[in-house]
Amino acid sequence: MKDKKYSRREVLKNSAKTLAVGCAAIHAPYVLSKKTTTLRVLGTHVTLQEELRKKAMQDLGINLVFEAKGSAAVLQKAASEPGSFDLYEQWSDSINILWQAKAIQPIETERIKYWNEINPLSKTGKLTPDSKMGAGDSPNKILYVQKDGTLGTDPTKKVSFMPYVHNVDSFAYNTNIIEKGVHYETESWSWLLDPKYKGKVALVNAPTIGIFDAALAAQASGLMKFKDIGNMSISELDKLFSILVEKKKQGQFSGFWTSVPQSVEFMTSKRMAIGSMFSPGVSGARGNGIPVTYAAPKEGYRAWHGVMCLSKNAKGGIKDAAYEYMNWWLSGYAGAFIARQGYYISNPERSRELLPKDEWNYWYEGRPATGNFTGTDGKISVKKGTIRDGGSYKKRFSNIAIWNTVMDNYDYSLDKWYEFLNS
Amino acid sequence: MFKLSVRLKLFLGLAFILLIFGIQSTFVLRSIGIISQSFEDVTRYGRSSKRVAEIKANITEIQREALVFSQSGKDSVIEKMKSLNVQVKNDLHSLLEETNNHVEVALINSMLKVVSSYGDGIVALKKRYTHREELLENILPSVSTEGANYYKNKVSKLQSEGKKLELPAYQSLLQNWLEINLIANSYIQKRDYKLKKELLEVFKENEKIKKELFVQQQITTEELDYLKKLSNEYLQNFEKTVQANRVYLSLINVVMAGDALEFNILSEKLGVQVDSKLKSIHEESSKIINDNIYLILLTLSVSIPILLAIAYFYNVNISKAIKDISETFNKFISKDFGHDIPGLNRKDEIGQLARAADKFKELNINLEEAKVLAENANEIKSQFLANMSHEIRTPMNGILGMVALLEMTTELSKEQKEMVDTISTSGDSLLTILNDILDISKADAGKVELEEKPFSLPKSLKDLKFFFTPSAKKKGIELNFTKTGEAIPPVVLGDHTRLNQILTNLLSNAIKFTNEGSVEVNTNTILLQDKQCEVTFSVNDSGIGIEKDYISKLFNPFSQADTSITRRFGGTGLGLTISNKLANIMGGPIQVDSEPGKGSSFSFKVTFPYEEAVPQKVETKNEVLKSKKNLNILVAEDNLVNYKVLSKMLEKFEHTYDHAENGEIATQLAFENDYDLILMDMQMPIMDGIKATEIIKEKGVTTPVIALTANVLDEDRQLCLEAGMVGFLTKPITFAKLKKTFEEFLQEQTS
Repeated sequence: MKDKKYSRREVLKNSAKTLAVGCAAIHAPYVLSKKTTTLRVLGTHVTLQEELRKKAMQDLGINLVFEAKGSAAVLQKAASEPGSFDLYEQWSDSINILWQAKAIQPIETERIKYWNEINPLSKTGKLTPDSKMGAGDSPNKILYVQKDGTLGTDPTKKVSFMPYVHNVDSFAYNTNIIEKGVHYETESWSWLLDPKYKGKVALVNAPTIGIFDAALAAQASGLMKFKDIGNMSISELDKLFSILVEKKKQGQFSGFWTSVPQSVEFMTSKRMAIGSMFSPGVSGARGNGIPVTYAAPKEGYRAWHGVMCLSKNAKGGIKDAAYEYMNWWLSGYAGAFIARQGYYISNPERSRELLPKDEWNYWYEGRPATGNFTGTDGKISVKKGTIRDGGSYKKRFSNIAIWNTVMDNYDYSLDKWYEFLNS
Repeated sequence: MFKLSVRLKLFLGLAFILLIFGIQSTFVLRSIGIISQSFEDVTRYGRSSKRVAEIKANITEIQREALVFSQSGKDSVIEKMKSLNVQVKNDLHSLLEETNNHVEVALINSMLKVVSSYGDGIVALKKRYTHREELLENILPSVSTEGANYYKNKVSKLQSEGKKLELPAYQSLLQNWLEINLIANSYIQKRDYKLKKELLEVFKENEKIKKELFVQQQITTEELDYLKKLSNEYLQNFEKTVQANRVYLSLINVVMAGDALEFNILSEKLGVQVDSKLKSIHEESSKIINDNIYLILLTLSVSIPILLAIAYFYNVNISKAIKDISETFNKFISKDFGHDIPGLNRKDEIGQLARAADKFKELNINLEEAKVLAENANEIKSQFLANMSHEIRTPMNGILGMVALLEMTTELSKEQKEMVDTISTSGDSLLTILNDILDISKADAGKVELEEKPFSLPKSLKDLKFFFTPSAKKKGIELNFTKTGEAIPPVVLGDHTRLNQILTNLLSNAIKFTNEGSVEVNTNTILLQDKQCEVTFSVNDSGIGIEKDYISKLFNPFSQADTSITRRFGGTGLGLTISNKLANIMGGPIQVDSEPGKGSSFSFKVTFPYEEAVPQKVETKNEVLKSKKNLNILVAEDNLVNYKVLSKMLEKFEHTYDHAENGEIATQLAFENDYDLILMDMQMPIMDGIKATEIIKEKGVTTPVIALTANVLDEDRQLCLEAGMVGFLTKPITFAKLKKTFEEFLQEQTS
């Protein structure tokens, strides 16, 4: 769901990381001892970060092998070769496929040490009772393993994934070119299709994400309405794409980016003045001196939720190590680490004590930064006095328009997407 | 500036010119470099532009092949896609090598990433296609066939066994089973979720039927388990197929299509960039070339005045300075030393030249002064000689006159006669020497003026022959006068007396130094234009000849070839000197050709104007003065000795005479009496002869006045004529001179 091949880490520390991974791979046999268990983690660069691997190995005394790939590749491999991994880290839209393919096994909530600390977002779909319920596959709908073996909302002691990293996305815009709007008031998904920004709009080339950005834009522009924007019908898809094709022919879109670094390049080169953007991309563009605002659209965010799944084949010591690793993730350090990259963790309180108060206040509470904050790469990622676009964790997650979802007609949308690209 | 040497100035000037040409050459070379660079750039971008077009075409081709592959699944298509992809990658690398423009580099690098990603896609495409095909074509149909066969066998078995109760249920199961497969295929093709839902409904329906059969105990548990396993297997493989299809589609429809789209956008941009670069190269190079032309023109417009200034500087500072100095030299040569020499203060070579000129000027002024001094000294010498001759001549006149009177009036003994003759001969010799010295003095002082009077040259020659024949006969040698060339004009204009002087000298020398053989006088005449003739006079003898070494000294005063000659043959030794000086004045020096023992030849050329008219009677045969008339003459002469000699001579001519002792008395007497002729001495006390003559003429007295003077210089003669005198008698006055003067005077009177 994030970029297929790159993470924010890679944008900022590409070569260092490649080297580090290479070294890790070479040195693995030395670390390995008879007692040391090796855990193979398949996932994306968003969560498979070298610092986390080292810290977890140090803390747990196990050997970790990270295999980071693009989302589609990761999913494909996991679905068809359950024996090739022990743990799988990706987005919630993988769950249905992996579950149906029986590539993963249920996780016992009793073995998740901090299960009770996990906040209601993933368990109910709402962070607070009065939050807006987002359309599409909210994590709660695919979390619990029901008695009939299907996945549902009724809480059980078995879950398809361990909830951990999550965030909300929207579109970003260059305020040198587009006048800065007001969060939740004037900022709207409709801007993406606004003829004012003709030739300046870029979308992410991923139907599961881009289609919702486009659908929210079409709906916000009043061009069409969806019965359920999280599960569009064939005719709705036809109509949506006819609108998009028409816009594309009029020259609305300047391109379709496929990776976070590319989105940064689009924004930096001003090829894109407004468009789909992930939060590492926004940071990267800002780092290049582009005044980018990450919109808080009045229609709501597009949310995504990370999932950690246990391979069908994992057993014994490996399975134990997998649980240890999952528990480590929720034990605070990792949550604090990713907080500095703008991501949230499902049990934030445990990370709170590991973050300086001011940083916590900025990342989670939406308060102005009291100083310049450095990111995990050592560079200044937050300037003094700035406020996180969209405000606090609560405020942002209370305004979810849709969750990233693999819709029933996803397969059909792939054809439409192809037509769109080639129109 | 004047401190630098001319060489350094020239060097600096040339260096500066070289510098200017160097600068211009640099500009020109730079322009050429830029043009050539532009040309290379244009060529390169032209190549790049073509390559970009090829790349775009190849990407379009790959996309087309991808569609072909999705229909056919042929390996050859994948291979073609791979090779096209490699070709595009290579082309991009070539492009990258050819450019250093950061925009292009960034675009090409982006394109390389896209191509690389697309390459990964091609590899994955084959795998995903194969995986999907395996499921779709083998696995799913085999499960479906297994189920269908089971149901078909079951139905036919039930039919053959006649079990009509269960038959409809199994027929439905078979039909549904077949339908499931149809729907599954349809869904894979159309991807409409409704179909999937329908498929699941049909599955549910079969489950219901099976459940009913089980309730009716029309199906065994084993059978049911088998069918359940078959259903699950089908459903699972169906999901796998859907997933494989999805993964395959997301690759080809999203990832690869997205890459292709991005590639097209980038290559479009690159094309625009390359085209705009081509345009900007053209514009930039035109601008740079124009700038260079401007720069060249600028340097030209700056350098031309500077070059002109250098040329002007050289002209003024060097050429003109040299010219000024050379003009100054010319003035110096024409004795004009009144000019300052330009450039004396200069430190260069011209300064040196100027200082050399200054030295030259100084030397010349000194020389001129020395020359003037020398000339003055010479003049004084000439004056001295003239005075000497005059002073000696007067007493000699008295001596000779008295000797002549003694011979004429007194009966002398033979001894006395011989003594008187000796006195007379010695006196004549002394007079000759005096005359010669006077002639040389005059010639040296440049005071010889030639007359230009008509005379008959043939007659002169005839007279010479007549005169010298006796002395030749006396020595027993022949004397011949010959003529060559054209006929001598009867009357020529010239100085008859001076010509005779030269010829007489040469002829007397020839006879003197010839003891046997002959002496020949030849005249060769050439008529020239404008009534002029050139006559070459040659006097040839067969005498003793002259040594070659002496020929050059021959014309020096007092240097005969051998001093013994003077002693042997006599003579003053001044004759040839005078002759040569006169010949020089008349037309050219005397040429000498001689061989000792064989003879000598002396020749000289004279050019005469001539008249073709009938010659007037130049000289009449005068009758004896006495027969004509007894004249009444006034003699103005202060020297009593001279007066006495003259009076005795006049008595001989039987003329009457009065005597005036000075000019004043002479004027008085001339005014009071009617004289036929006045003989007037030039130098007298109280009033000289010139003044007296002027007064006489002013008073209207027409009596001719003839001057008596010891001065033989022409300037004296000129003064006399200007005063109104008509004749001229030089002292010492001889009887012959007096007779000749009277004859001329009388002829004038009568004519």
